[in-house]
Amino acid sequence: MRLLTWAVLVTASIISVMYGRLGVALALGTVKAITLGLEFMELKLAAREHAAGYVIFCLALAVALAAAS
Amino acid sequence: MTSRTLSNPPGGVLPWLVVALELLTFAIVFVLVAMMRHSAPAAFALGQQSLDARFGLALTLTLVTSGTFAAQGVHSFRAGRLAHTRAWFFAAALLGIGFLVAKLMDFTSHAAAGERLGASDFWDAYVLATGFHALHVLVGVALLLFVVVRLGGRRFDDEETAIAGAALFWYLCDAVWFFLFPLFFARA
Repeated sequence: MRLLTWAVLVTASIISVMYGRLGVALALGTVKAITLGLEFMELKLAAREHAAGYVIFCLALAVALAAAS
Repeated sequence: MTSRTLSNPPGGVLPWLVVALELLTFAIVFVLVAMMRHSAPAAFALGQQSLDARFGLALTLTLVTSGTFAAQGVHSFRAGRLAHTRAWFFAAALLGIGFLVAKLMDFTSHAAAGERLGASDFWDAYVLATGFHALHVLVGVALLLFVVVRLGGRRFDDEETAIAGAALFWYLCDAVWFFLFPLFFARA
């Protein structure tokens, strides 16, 4: 699972650079942060409130950054 | 081990408190950078021409791989393989040091070209935001190396919190970079 997570993060990073647009890069950055949180930070094993709080934070930050840019 | 209770998040309460505060601090920094990007589009477009997205990708891949090594170290610890934990954490720290050396060279080369604090809104934001992140990487490397050294000697009273907590701080450095990268390396 860790290898798969690494592969997802690497692939998303490469796609992000290939496209080079802010919207795509922010969306992929959010996907990466959530993937990292659920897998490496083990939020998928945490209380649902903790996992939901982190995911909502990532989504809200992405929306705020897209709106402010 | 991990738990699904609210009072016992994976890695422990204290590390998560630190991570939550850091995430909020970085969020404020990122929104400020995004607002600067919006208010000074020409300075950002010009500044971005001096950045190499492939360099940014290399930094990203370094952090991602390092984070994976740390996760592997936590897994090894829970499987009772302390020597493997030390090796994975040491490898993660080495990549972290590589990241820091690359950032130092990045700052130095840009500064030599006059691209430093005060040069423009873009360079103010770039140096301060990525420098702030690099400081956290430095702390993360120190935590990983501290765990490596301690596991070879006196050990910890609460090893789960010490090891998972150090790794958690390291993942934080990855997570915030995922938002920092688009703000400087992606086009509007």
